[in-house]
Amino acid sequence: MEYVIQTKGLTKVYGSLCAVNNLSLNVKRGDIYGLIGTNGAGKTTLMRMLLGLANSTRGEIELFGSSNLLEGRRKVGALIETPAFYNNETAMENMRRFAILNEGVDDSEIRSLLDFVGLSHTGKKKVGQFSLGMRQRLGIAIALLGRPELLILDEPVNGLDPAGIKDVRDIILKLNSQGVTVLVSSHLLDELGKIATVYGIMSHGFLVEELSAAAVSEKCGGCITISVNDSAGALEIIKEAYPETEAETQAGVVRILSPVSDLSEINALLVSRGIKVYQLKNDSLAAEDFFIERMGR
Amino acid sequence: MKKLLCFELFKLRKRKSFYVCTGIMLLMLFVSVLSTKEMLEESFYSNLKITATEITAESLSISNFRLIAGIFVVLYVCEDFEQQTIKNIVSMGYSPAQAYFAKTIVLWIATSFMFVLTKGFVFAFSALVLEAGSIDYMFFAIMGAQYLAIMAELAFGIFIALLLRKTGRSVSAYIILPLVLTMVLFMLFDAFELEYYHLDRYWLLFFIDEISYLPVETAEVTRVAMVSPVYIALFLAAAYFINRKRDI
Repeated sequence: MEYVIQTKGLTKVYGSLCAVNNLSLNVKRGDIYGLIGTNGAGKTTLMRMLLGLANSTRGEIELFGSSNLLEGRRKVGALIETPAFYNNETAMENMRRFAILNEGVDDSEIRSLLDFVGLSHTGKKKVGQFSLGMRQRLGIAIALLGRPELLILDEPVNGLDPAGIKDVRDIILKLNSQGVTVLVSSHLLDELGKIATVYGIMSHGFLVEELSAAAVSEKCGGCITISVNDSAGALEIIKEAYPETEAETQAGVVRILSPVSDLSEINALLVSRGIKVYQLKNDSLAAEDFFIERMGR
Repeated sequence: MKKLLCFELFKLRKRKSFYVCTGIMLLMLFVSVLSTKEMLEESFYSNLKITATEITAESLSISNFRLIAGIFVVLYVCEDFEQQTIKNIVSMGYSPAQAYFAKTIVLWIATSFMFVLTKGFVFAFSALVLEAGSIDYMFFAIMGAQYLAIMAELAFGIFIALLLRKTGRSVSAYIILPLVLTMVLFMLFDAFELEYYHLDRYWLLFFIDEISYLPVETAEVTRVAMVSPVYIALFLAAAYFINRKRDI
């Protein structure tokens, strides 16, 4: 198993506050690792330590299996807190500046990166006049200079409108499909749920739990509650049509415990077999409850 | 490190303040030479002789080099911290120490360039307009000592900028702090009757004035040339440790 990030006992203390406490994190190559936690949980501090923006008080960091962090960081692209630019320059000029710091990045690569994040049309517009979404996308483009193998994104959708959020999500998924490992933090559970393959739950500086998206789904996902006039009959019909599905009756309702691709199909099936369906609920809140409980709120 | 130096040099080339500060100093020297010429033409000063050598030696004070170059240094260092672009640099695999060294080297190049340019300009222009005067080893010794004093000021500017990181605060501190510190120290020296130690002879703020106005004694030049490197080492070391210790 190749880990791109491993930390052991990583700790950061600010005065009397322990922002990150004895944290051991493992990010595998190819993962989209979603770091979840409330504000002040220590997500940003952790990322800042990984990138060398903050000195750790104790503990070890390994990037790409090596403790030579300067070398490792050359393979990392990052967007931490708000994106930083030279505001009186255009997107292209900013990209050219930061390209100097990377190996062999030419103008054509810069153009293709700007195109990739949808900023190829910005021309002579100064970055200072960019919208929040455009700045966020330019921040990602700068992070992608030098073709990083690992992308570290801190709250990349913060403050964006729904279209902007979707743009950033699509970019992350596209990059991951090209082999880029992503460590992304957010307090928007729903948003992370759409992309993360692994979750790390942080609370008060601690990494409470590390678990895969499949494990989360197993623990709380796929729970569909169906209120019907005949729960036993409905369960029989469902088991007959979907023999692989795990389902049960409980207090007069049917609960489907394994993932279901199309709820309307089950509804139509039950109605066609004379079962009255009063309510059909995808219990997605369960995942939210699961995380909130672990985040200690 | 080479790429980081290229990055900083590119940044220097794009900095308007670099051209503006150099331009202001050249303009002040230009006006000063012309007004000196005009003054010498007046009958009252007809016996007075001011040569290009003298004006060149005085040019650091005339052009306010210490203040203007110092402000440029502070603006340059603070920019990356204020705009947070230092985050991009460090997260791309460069240590804060490397960023510090690259900035220091580029600022040394920039201020050296300003120094040589202003000196060259004022000497050439005043030689054209006034009498050139004699250039001897003492003239070069004064230039050398002035250069070292300016480098000590540069180190002080870097130290202040890395300590405070905000443009407004750093510029104010660069201007006001030495004055306040001077006042406090001299009051203390007065209070404890320590005048004997001649603090003013070793005080960086006075160096430029001390060796700007001819005739300058060899002892003064030697003292400035020997003490300035101590200031350079102290300020650069302090700036380095502050930069290493603090988070970005």
